[in-house]
Amino acid sequence: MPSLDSKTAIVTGAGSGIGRATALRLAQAGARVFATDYSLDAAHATAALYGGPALALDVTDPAAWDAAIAAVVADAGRLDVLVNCAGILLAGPIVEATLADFDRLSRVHVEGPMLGMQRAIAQMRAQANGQPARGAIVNISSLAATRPFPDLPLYSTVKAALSNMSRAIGIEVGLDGDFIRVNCVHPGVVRTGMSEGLFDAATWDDAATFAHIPLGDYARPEDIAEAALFLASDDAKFMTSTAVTVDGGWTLV
Amino acid sequence: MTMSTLQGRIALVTGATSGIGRAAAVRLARDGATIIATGRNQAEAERTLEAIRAVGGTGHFQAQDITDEAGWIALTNWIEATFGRLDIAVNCAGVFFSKPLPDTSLEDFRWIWNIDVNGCFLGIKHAMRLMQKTGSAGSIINISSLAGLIGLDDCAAYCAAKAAVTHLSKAAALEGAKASPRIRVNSLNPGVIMTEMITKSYGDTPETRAFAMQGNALQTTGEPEDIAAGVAYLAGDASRYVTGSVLLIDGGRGAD
Repeated sequence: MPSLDSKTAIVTGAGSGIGRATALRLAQAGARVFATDYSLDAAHATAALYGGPALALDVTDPAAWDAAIAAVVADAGRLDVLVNCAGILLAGPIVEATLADFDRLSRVHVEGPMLGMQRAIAQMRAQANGQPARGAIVNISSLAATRPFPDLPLYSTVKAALSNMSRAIGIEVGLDGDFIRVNCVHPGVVRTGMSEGLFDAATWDDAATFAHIPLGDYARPEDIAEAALFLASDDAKFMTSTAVTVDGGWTLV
Repeated sequence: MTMSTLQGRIALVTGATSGIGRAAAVRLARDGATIIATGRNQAEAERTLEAIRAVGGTGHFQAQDITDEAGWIALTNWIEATFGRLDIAVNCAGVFFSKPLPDTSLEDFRWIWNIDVNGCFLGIKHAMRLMQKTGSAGSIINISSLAGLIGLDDCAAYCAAKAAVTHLSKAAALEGAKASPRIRVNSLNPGVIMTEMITKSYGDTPETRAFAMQGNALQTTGEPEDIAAGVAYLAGDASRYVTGSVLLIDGGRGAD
């Protein structure tokens, strides 16, 4: 079983869904996990599950990132793992999409992880004492990055951007001589607070969805958390610039 | 934090007498599974069993030519009679050579295809049959290669064979998803890993090591244990929702 003993981790979007499951799983594996969320109350509720620290973090705000990293380093002295999980979902046909929608999605799914990765990499290098820096970054992207979903054109677009940015940054930091690994998880359909609006819609049809999923069920947040733990741990020490697909076989058909 | 997540599981690993197969057998044993290691070399098998014992695990060796279907039937009958079930099958046995395409004979091509593709096909087939017969929610892991996804110079036969293994895994995953309980099938695609399979073709030299690292973003060679860790993830309940996937463990070589 993967271990994160003596590691310090930040999980964004940890107040609910995949982020909450991931924060808890990383803590169970031995890490000191900072649960961060747009809502401090939600972050606290998650952190209380494992007796860890919580921070407010709006991932679209560069100053908030600076403050969060500073708080983590002040407490733990270092940062080893960053899981970018914060996300929002805006659904609807492209002709009804607004530039404001696209801007919100881009800021949360692309700019947020970009700001976090910049700062995490800088911190991992700063704490390396002249040795090659070590660390792991896991970005929770989506199956939509490779299999665009109808009525999710903008979400599919920003997740493709996140996945490709991850691959580019993984290559870049590796070739710079650092051992900072950057990988994605591509979850299939998960029922969480973020996606609940889809399931409530009158047009949602479980049977039609399961026709796309050979395993015939939705993913649980814990399934995604397990993949994130694997990628964050030394079990994945030869993995970078790739993705673990956790989709119940969606991409098979 | 240590926990035996595969406690009580029965795991078959082919090609377990060297390289990735040996590392996978040892890792699964460390995680609690009982190992059936197969291969052709008795002396090397003893080393694998010794390594399994060294991590506190339990292993059994059965000599096997994976291209012989009668042998597969005998092996799976023995597993059923001895353990009553099969939970994990790792199809790892494989061969490799490097040769320019114009110099590759049909015999060369058939040699690699017979072992790497036909052997894997028989492994999936007979593992699925036993898992279905004994009602196991099994996990089948096929060791493919980065060369099954992108081209590797002067390795056309190997690239073709590993592309076949990668895709065979996906087709088998669809069928496994219909079984009750469900059987998961995944492809694990390593980059260039420093094993005897590589050093037999290229020599155990600094140049081979440089070749193994070439294009790796992480600028290090992959070790059999790195692939074994991926096998452990795909074998256990942590990957409960993962099937038909391609797990690429290549140091970032395939990304650019």
